[in-house]
Amino acid sequence: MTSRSVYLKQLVYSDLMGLGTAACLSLVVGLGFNAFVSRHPVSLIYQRPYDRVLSAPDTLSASGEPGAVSIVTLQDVQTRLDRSDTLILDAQGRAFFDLGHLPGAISLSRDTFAQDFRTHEKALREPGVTLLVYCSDADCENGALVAQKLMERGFKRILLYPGGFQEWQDAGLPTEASE
Amino acid sequence: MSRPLTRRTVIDIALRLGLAGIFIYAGIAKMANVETFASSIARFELLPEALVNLAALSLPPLEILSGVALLTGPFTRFAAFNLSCLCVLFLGVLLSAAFRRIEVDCSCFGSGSQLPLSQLVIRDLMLLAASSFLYLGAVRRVGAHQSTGRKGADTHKPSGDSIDSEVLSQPDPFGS
Repeated sequence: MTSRSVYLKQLVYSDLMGLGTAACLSLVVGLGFNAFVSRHPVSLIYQRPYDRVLSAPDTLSASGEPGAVSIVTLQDVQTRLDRSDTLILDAQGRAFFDLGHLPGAISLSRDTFAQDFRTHEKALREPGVTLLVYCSDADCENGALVAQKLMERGFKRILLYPGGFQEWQDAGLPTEASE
Repeated sequence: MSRPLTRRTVIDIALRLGLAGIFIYAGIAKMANVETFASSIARFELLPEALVNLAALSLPPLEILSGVALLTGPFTRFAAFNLSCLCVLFLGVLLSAAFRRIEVDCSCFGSGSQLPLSQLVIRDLMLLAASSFLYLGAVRRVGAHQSTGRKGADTHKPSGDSIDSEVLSQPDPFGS
């Protein structure tokens, strides 16, 4: 084996050891930050956003009682799609909304919530209107967070559709895109 | 007496500053919103749920650590290697998502990045090119020094200390 190849082998070994050490150190730092510093620590085992938000006390519940948010399925959304008493809210980012959304949905993104809310406040506050919120899929927490923000602003009739745009699209149902 | 700045040195400094800034910012933004980052990792469907939060907790510090190390002379090569590996990892994850037609929100800088996948891949490739350039530059400097100076002196030491000391003995772009 030439001295060059020995040298390269040694170099790669050394760099991989460095990466391993840095990764271990980072894990320790991350766990320490989560345990002692973070204002919003996460559990060590991942919990899907909808489960996390719904299981939190004093925020949302799936019971459907007044003031709470109810979880709905694809079939529920289909039946409500053309009803005038339901306003469909897309919590995806604006770019994703533009690429595709449920028919008739309006954008109420988490990132631009305040601005979007002002834009659509009149429609949102129509008497008797039920708000149906969805995001891209069950791993997108924006739907639950937007629902939570709506609750904080006093809205009582909120439905949350965890399957989101992905499930809707996979079912072959019609979608719309913005230009 | 300060050394004259060569074009290569200026590029090195610019890349080190740029990459360090990007990764430190990205790491801090992710640490500020670990839940969102964990959700993004979960959406790629590559890790079991038991490992999602551990990955979300350890990747941002690794980015920050590597970014800070990139600014310091002694650890430039290690940092550039780490960042190159991270870029390869991110690239692989993005391409796998594209292959499986999963719509991704990479949360690369904390809150949802709304760039299309193609732009995310291009951005990642640029970061990979920059970090690889720095890494190969550091390797070349060490190699050149070894072949002209203490050839064979440290070839049996796997710790890398000898290599670092050689890197240290090379002119540092920051002049530190």
